[in-house]
Amino acid sequence: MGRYALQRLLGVIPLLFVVSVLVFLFIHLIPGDPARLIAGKDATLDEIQGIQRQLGLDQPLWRQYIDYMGNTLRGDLGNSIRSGLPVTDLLGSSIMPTVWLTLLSMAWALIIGLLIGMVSAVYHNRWPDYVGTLVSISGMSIPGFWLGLVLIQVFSVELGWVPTGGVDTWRSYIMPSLTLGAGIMSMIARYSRSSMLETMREDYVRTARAKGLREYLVVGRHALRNSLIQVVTVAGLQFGFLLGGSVMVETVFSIPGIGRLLVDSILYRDYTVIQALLLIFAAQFILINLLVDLLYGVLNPKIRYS
Amino acid sequence: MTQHLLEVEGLKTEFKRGGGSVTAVAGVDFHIRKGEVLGLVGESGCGKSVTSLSIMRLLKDTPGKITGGSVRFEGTDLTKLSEKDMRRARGNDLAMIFQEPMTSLNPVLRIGLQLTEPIMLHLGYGRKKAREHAIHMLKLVGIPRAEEVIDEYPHQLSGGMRQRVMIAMAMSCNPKLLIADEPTTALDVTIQAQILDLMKRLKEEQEMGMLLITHDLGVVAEMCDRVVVMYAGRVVEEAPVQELFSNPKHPYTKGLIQSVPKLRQKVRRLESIKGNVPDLSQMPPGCKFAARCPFAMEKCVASEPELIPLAGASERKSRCWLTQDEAVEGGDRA
Amino acid sequence: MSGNSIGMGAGAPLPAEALAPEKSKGRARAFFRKFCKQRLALIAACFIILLFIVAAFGPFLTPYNPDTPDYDALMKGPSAAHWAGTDEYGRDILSRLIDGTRLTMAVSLSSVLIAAVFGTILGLLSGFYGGWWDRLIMRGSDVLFSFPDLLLAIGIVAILGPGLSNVVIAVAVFGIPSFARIIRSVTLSAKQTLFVEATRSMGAKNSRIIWRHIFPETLSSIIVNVSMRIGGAILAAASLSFLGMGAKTTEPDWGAMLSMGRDYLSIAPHIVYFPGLTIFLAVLAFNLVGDGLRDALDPKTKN
Repeated sequence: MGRYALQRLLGVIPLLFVVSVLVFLFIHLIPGDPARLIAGKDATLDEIQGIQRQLGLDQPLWRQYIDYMGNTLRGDLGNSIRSGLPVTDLLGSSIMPTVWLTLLSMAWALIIGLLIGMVSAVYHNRWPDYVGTLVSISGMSIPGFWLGLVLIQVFSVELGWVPTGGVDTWRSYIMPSLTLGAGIMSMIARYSRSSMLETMREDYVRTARAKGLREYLVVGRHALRNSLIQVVTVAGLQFGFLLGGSVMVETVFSIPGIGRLLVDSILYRDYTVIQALLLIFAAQFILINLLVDLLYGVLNPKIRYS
Repeated sequence: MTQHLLEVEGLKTEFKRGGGSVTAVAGVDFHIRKGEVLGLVGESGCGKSVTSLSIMRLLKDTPGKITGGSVRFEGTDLTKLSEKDMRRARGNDLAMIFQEPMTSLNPVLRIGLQLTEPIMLHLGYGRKKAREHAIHMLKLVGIPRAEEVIDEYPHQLSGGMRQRVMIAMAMSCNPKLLIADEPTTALDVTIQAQILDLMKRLKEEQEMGMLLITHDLGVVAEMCDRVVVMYAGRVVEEAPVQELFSNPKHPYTKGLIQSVPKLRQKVRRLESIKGNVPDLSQMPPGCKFAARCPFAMEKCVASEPELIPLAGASERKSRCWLTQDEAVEGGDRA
Repeated sequence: MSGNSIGMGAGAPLPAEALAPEKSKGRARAFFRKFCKQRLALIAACFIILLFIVAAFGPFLTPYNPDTPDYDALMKGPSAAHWAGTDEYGRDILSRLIDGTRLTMAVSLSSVLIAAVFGTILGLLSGFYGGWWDRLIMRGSDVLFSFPDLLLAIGIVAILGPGLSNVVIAVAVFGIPSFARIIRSVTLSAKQTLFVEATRSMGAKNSRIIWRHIFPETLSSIIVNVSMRIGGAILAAASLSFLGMGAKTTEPDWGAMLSMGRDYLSIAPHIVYFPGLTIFLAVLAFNLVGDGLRDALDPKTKN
């Protein structure tokens, strides 16, 4: 296990490095001079040069990268071009809504997805299987922003059961998490179905039946445990896609999270904030994948005991 | 006639394939007495494994289905039992060991849990007592450091050790009948001998009947009291073990025996029998072995002989036109 | 959007070795029969054909001019005159949807095809030559995979600026690694077949081996992955348009129509309902066909 964990950890480092270089280069890839963009249209040459010096843009690229990474590692992500506030402050105030949203979405997607997958596998090629398959393929085809708007129209505008947006009460999270989780739920359902079908054909499932175990134990203990290892891995990998999806859902439901912050920053060309957010999203994604890999090791006795 | 432990009569199992169905087991008859070891022999694909799964009713999750005949265990027809009653019998009076010890144990559950499951279920023991019984069983099948092994995972054990665990699991509720489907095929030769010795010892100690499925005639000679030879889903010959080897009646059995120069050698392909087993979906009308038989006559291609008891010897049956003249006069055609 | 919107390729692993090439007519016929047995996939395929027809003949099919405002009929609900109602300028929504089909199909098809071409080339090179080529390409795709895909697209649009052509590029870029990985694994297994070994020992050139012997083997994987990704591409493009990073609001793009209608959700929900439903049905159709193709090309699924 120790060796496995170390291998994974070491594997992530070069990836993080390349990603950080790409994100660093981001600001240089934008057509035009970043300093001019930051200073605004009416800035004088002096002002622009001042900003260049202040941001270190007159230094060679490698030097700039080292400064950038040094600052980042110290927790300084620069200031917003638009508001002048430190990016870390903006992040601090918007990160919790996104965390709650993604966790809630993942929780219900995992529970419902597994349930659908299991029922589909147990009733393979019978009507519950067909219903489950149709639900899951619809779930992955539905445009989430549209689903969100329909939910708002029906449950907020028409029925008035839940708020249309914001994060004032826990009830505000119900519809956004349903919207965000729909796609992941479908994927988990599809994956757990095929994984369960495969597991049900394994020799040890036959052994479990040969012992005279009841079917719920055969499925719930012997088959599910094995499938769960793979399903949890796949579900974990989807976390990153939830982060991407949160951009849409936060926009539709007016949730002040980091996805919304990203959209606003792009619309206002607030490049320092975009850069910081890209880095954070990518780092988060890589680290979650790492965690999932480690979790896989913990769940799988073959790796845990070697 | 005393009641047999297991009586299989006219057992027929079909598999759905594509639009139609193929018959994997086409009316198989045999019986096993208390404390007797019956060998079920034949090439792969002859229906011996399907026969054993049919007896245990473990065809769920396969396209197979029992479509005829009966399997009477101590007088009760297993094919007519409810799923609930069948579960009560499985792992209890009827136990089974499979061919692949490497995949037959659940990789994510500890040995202890897998062993105590049937003990708690069928013997009604509590967790602690079941664990003690499981350790006792592990010791019985010759596993060293049983107290530690019980908390380990299958991948920490060798193939031979895993098969011992499977045997311990099967024996844990004192079954009256043990079905062993190629229990030693996947193991090294030296381990094979150990496992066979173990099974022989346990069988004698516990007085149980055993159905030993194998394609290895060496194993048959060592373990069995009587032998049933299967070909293309049918029984073609039945005989006590010595008579089978000394005086085989059916040409297929003769071929089988000739293809083993020495006992104990694995036979995968029958080199002295030319040709292949016929495709289950395209069975010839006559004797199923006719196409490969060196003695085939016109009659053999036209119609299929029945499995008929032979005169002179006790409990000998053969399904061949050549042995029809040796048949018991008016013998009952079981 | 819902995470998979774009990333479905990553979540649906394709059994690479399962996608055998079709060489004989019998195989093609068997494939066709298998595909037709899946009734849903067949219906979906018909719907896609309909979409293509609408895309091709759009201007002749619209009941109204999609761009002509009608200030006497603002935000009218569905009626006999306007089957899908009218929008905030009184334009006929059905006509705009029909007109937008061409745009949607063009954007999604071109982005997926660009991804397929580059991904396939990279996958072939990586699988065939191995070594540092392979390492470079695979590490590169790891890097691309380490950005959640919609975010990668947003990042690219942020650099290139908004607009549909940039959306095509953005959606194509994150499709490349998925093609590269799948084609690489097919190439690796194809390389091992005796056939290729034999051709090589006869002194055939590498480029010829790749083109004549390995590429045909990868075709069915490419087809399946293309069909599986188009749905995701439609969703991604619609998402970007909805965020204001794709089509201009004057263009009859399905996502942009939805985005505009959002402001009138409480008074005229039909402006949102119909474009969304259209996107949903189109994506569903492509996903169903993708599933159907995969099952039909996979020798493991029997009949």
